[in-house]
Amino acid sequence: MRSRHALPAVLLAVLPLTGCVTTAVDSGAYVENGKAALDSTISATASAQLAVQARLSGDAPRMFTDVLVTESEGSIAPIESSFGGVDPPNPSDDALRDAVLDAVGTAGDALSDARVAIRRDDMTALAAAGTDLQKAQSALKSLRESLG
Amino acid sequence: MTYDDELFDIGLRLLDRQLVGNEDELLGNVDNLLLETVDDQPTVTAIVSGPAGLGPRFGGRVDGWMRAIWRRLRPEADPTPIVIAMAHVERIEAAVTLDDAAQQLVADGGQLERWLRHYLIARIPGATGGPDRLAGEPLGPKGRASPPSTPIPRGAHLVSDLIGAQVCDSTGNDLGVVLDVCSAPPHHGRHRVGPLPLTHLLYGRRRLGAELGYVAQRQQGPWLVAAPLRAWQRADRLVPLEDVTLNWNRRTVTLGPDAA
Amino acid sequence: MKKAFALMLGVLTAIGGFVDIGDLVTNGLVGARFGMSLAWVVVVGVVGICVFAEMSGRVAAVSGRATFDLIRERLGPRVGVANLVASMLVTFLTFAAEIGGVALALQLATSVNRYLWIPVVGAAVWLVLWRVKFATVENAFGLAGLALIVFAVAVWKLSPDWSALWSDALRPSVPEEESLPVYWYYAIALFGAAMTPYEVFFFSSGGVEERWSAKNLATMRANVFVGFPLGGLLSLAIAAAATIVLMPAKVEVDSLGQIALPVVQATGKIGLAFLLVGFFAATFGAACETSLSIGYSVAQYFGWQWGKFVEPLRAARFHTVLLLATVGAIALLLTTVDPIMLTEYSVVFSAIALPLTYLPILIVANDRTYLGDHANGRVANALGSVYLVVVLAASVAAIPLMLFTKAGQ
Repeated sequence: MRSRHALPAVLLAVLPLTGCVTTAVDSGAYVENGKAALDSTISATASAQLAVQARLSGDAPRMFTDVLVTESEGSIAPIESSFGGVDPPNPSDDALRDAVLDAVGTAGDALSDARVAIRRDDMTALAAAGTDLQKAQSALKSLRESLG
Repeated sequence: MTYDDELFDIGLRLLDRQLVGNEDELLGNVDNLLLETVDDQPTVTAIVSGPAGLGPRFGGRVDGWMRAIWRRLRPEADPTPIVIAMAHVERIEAAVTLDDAAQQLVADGGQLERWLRHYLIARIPGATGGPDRLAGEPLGPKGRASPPSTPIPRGAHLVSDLIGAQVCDSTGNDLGVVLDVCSAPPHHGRHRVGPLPLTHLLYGRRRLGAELGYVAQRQQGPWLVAAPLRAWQRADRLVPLEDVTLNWNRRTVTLGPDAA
Repeated sequence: MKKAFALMLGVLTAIGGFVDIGDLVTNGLVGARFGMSLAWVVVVGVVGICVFAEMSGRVAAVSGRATFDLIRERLGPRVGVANLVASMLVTFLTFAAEIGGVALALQLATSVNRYLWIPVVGAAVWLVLWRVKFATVENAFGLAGLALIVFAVAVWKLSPDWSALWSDALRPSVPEEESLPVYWYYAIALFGAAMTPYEVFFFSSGGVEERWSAKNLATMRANVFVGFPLGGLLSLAIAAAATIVLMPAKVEVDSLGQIALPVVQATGKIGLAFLLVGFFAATFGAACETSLSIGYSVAQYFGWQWGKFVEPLRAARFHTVLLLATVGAIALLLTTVDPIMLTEYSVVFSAIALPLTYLPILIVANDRTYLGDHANGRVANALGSVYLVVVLAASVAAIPLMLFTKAGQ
């Protein structure tokens, strides 16, 4: 009886040490995963926002802004797949899953729009994308705050 | 333990030192030393440089690997190590300075350098070598051949056989290992250094830290490092060589009955 | 007049050459996460590197022997080879991180993917070391690295709340969102970034390359005691810029571009141009230094002829080591490892490897048979001993903290 439960317990004990995202054991750990995903997205969105603002005010050249926004955009997909790839442990966590993936996805869309606007050198579209980024960032931040 | 400041610690002051030529060319390290019995006294008669000398310092499998690599690089069937007689040593300071003849010998003996230079570095565009003959290259019609390496005589041993040897007293009790060997300081009114007769052995239980120099130099700081090391090494003893018997085959040193 | 010029050149080169990718990334990261509450670590690290660089420079000038020569002489071949392997692994990681840093700077400037830049940069570093004179490399990249002063300009232009920055720096406290172990983990990383082992190998071997003697001691000390602290100020400026702009925005630094954002915001396109030159010079110069350090250490352990002061054909083994190190670093980077993460690990491993380097230097700097009257006096020994304890503490604490905090997450 003991040996059957030992191996999974050992694995569950060891895997978190490797820093891998693993099946969250309980809701608490799942909420932590959600917070981490939101923090990373907030960071990526904030970098892009700063870059877009600098572009709009003429402080940043196009190439620099392009590199930064593309980097931010590129970091969204790994966040989505690493958070989305973990099953919510309880049905009550499904709402959290949807909310986080929603917010992250919206930010990803805004980042894509920004990237396109930068590459086309379209300032109007860039300003609009900047507004979308701002909205996405507010949503992310309020969701993050609600998680404590 | 009386420590005579007139003693020259071979392990500390001579082994692992850089060999340099008269114009600061870097020739290799003092990887090992040749010991021969001269007038009943073990004497350092030559320096051994290169993998053939360094291997025995490690012992075991590492020694085997180093010798194997060394043999592969040598064109001759039965290679001799680079051995430089002590008569060729001009000065022993922060580095060991060799005279011109020995310098050429060591430089020409370096096969790895020659191999890499020939097969790799020389093929890269922009590889310059300067006007002088490069060490190891074939001599032109006016070039002088380097003197032959001193052959290793029969009955000679390496200092690495002695340092690390087991020490026991006359009743067979284990007293530790040989940590270092000492001779009189070189340059005692001589032009070249010449062979160094060994006068004392330093032995103790703990091998680590012997070469850091804290036993030899009483005043060396800083206190934070010196104090623990001296405590660690307080059981080390110095014994004159007349009072010991060396057994090379079994790599043991036996103290005579009147040794402390 | 000529002496004054040479002195000035030395100091400026020391300032510009102080910052490398480790300093850039770690200070940027720490500034964004911890504000100025870890500024004291930079100060501690800079004083430490001054103490030990002066010692190793003094040993090189007076005895003509560089650091790794003496490591084998003092520790013996067996412990010496263990020391060599450990130091080389850390320096190799740093070398790869520096090449990665150059590629990132070039990517930022041209938006050409960094994986295309990596082999080009590696080849360029090797080529510079093959053909360009030592002094030229040092001076050119050191002076160009002064362009990083734009960070200080940016901080000033951003008109921050100076009193808040000062009090944060002088009365450090762990920010609310961070835990104490993570704070100390980054303290160790910042310490390792300031006191890199390769700097000491390079400084002493460079002294031998430039044929220092006891007459150069005063100049060497000026370079160290004026140049390095000013370089440390640059590090603090990088952290301050990140604190002012990135911390409120909650940006977690994971790219070089983010570290450049404060400068762009404050000084615009011109500032960015200077910054990119500075990034390039600092990382490329450090790549040359780390590569040479690897060559110096291996050659000095075995007693081979080393150095750029002899023609390449006279130091074939040395140049082979440089070639192999460069190929290895390029290969490591082409495994798509993230250069920023590589940098973060390299500074922590540097902190772990510090005692291996500093203990032998402290011992040798006390040895009158090498240094005569120039051996350590009481001040040098007092400082050296204090730092030995600090360095040992950092080294011992690093791995447990790394495991416990999962490398700072």
